[in-house]
Amino acid sequence: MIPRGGTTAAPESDRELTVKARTQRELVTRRFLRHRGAMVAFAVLFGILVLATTSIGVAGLAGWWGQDYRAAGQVVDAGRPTLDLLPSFVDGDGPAVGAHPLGQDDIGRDYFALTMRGTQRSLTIALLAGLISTVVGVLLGALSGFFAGRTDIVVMRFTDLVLSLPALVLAAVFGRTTGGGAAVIALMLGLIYWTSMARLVRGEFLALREKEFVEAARAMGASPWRIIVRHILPNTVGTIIVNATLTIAAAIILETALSYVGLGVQSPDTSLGKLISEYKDAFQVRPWLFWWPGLFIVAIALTVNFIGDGLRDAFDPKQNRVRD
Amino acid sequence: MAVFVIRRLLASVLTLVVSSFLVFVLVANSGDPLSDLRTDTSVGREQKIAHRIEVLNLDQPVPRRYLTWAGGVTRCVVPGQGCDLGRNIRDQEVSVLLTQAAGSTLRLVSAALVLAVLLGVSVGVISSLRQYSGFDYTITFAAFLFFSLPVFWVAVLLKQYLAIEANNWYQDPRVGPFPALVLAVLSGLTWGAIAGGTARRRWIVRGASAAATFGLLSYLSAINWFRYPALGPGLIIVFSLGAATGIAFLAEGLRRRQVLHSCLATAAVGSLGSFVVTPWLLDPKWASWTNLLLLLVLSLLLASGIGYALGGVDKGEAVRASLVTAVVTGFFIVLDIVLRTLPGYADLVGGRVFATIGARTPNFEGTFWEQQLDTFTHLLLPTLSILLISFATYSRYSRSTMLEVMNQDYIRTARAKGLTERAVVLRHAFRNALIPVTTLAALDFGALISGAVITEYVFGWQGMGNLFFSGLIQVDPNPVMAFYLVTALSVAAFNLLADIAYAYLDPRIRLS
Repeated sequence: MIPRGGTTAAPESDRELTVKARTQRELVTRRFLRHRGAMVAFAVLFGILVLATTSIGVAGLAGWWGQDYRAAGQVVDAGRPTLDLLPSFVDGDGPAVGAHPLGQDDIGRDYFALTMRGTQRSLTIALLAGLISTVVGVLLGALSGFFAGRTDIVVMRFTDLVLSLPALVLAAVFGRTTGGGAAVIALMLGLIYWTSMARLVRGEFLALREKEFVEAARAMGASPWRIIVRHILPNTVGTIIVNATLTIAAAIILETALSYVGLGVQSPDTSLGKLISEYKDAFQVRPWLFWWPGLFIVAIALTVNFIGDGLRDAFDPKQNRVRD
Repeated sequence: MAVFVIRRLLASVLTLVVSSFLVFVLVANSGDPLSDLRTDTSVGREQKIAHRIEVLNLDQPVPRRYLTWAGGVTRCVVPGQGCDLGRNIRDQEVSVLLTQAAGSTLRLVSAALVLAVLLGVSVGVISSLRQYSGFDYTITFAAFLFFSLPVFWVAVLLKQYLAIEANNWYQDPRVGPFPALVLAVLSGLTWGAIAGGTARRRWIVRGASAAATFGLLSYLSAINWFRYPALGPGLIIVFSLGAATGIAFLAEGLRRRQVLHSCLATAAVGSLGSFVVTPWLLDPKWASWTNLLLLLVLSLLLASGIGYALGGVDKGEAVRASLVTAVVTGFFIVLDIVLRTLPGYADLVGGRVFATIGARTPNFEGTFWEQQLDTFTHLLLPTLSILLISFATYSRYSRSTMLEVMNQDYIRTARAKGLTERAVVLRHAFRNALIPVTTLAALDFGALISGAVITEYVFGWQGMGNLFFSGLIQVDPNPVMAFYLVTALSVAAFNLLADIAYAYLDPRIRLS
């Protein structure tokens, strides 16, 4: 650009057209960080995660919340929540947490501790299910798409078979015969959800295996394993991450639904769906027993869905859902 | 094409055989079917156990029992032989139970699906045309929210706030000035968000719709309309003519006079016909589904006649638009009758019109219309809770496909030719955006049937979900298999249908 008379010219280095070279990873991270909805969702989910793990402790470690979720106690004030968010100029007293912020259930158990325990369980199950389904789905999808031919047919028929089994039957049968531990439910949900991942990854692999860079790798004598892991897989990371996120959101909803109908997490353990199911008839008298676990389910599922949406936008700018 | 269909059918039959065997084995091995009898202390325990063993063939190995069941199922395919789906743990014919259960489930699922597609697609399309507007953001957020809602939780909320509170309100149905004001503001915001154009135009739309809502609600409260609702011939005529104008506009634009005139004529004939038809339909001896269907066929014939006569050069378009107008006019006439039936129905059920449990009022006896209303009020809440979640899917999906289509080159070409925006959107973009939605709807149907299990459980329906759950809990494979058969068959059939529909609608796809 020609500086016009008298204007202060920028220093030499700044006047050059500077476009910083960014790697694909930097681009994706930048786009994700700029997605406002996803960032808010991320913060909220992180907050829930920290709250649920630190408050009542995890894996034997004690948390800062003194009360145990199993301990029954004296029911104070009909178990009403003591949480008060309204400032003093609205209702006279200031904001307070109180002894039982989310109230107590009918035998005096602290509902905050119970809800946190349920959140832990539901989150663990969903994350594990997401992990299992991702590993299985990516593995089978990659093999099926890369080797094509007979492998592909076998894997895809197997996928169809699993897809045709009703999730509830599997859940009920495994839940009943193994006692309904969290790990079993997670495993089962993972084994239900891997099919969509496998189909997506297979599709990507089928397209990518015809590309020149794969040909080049093959010509240099790379083993199939190396081509899959080092050359093709990094190109499918977007699809995998986005689908894994959406799987986690779906797994949360399905797990809570299973626990609600009594086929998921079993007593004395608890989960968010089970809490709702136990107190659904108490809605008229003690609505908080119904509201809190539900709000946590919705908050978790909503934030995970938003994060998934943000990731999709970040990985696939062609869709251009976010305004830059 | 034929080769493709046959190959697909064979593959699905094979999958079905293997997976039905798996399901059978899993259910049969999930527990002890005699557990309730083992703790039984009454006399004749041994006989009861022996009887159950005989009914369920428990003395045979599981694969053998599966073969017995499969043998019964294959009789459904052979003509002249009745279906035999085995007997359940209480020695009832499963095929009889299934016939009763499937009816209510299919009604629920199809009502929810049709509404979800209609609402979801129209909202999704509007939201794509107003991309990045307040409306778009609101709908996007709402879709994410609905998508994250557990159906059992929504169900309880709907029961409380939609049914119980609405029933309380119905005791003295009036809208006070303050609620009317709130609703008016909401309606103003909604319409303002949907309307496009300049800021001035949108403020006019907001003001007008808010004022209209407030006025209407106050007026209806004043004449106690909510207690004794009806449309009456006057409103039927006004609504039908309005709908006719709208249909003509959406179909061909108001400049194509022949289309507009034939739509208006159809609406006029239809709503004048209501003077004759309404008394017939209210007559208990006459009202039935068959006669309703006959009336529909008659009105469709009449509408095509009108469209043909008045269509001029646009005969085809005029006939099509008139047919739609006839259906809408018929809807208004039926709506009027249903609304008139409401007070009588409310008296029959003790004033609690919105049902929270079951698929019908037990031992309900009433006229044809009261029966339909009873079905409808019971259908309302479960449909809504399924609808919310499906609506989210359809609105998101149709929004993104519509955005994709609107960026295509042929849309630019259509604009460059000087076509109106209406023609570009509805003729060139919308039709193509609908193609993937069709596929989604077909695939969704199967998913909805199995997903409806939870909804039915929550609302206490005696549908297929109940068949499934009780079978599962009592370790009784036959009812579970009946449920599985229906869902698996419909999933397979609709998957195939989706593929064929896709290839038919989009000639670029070739089935091989």
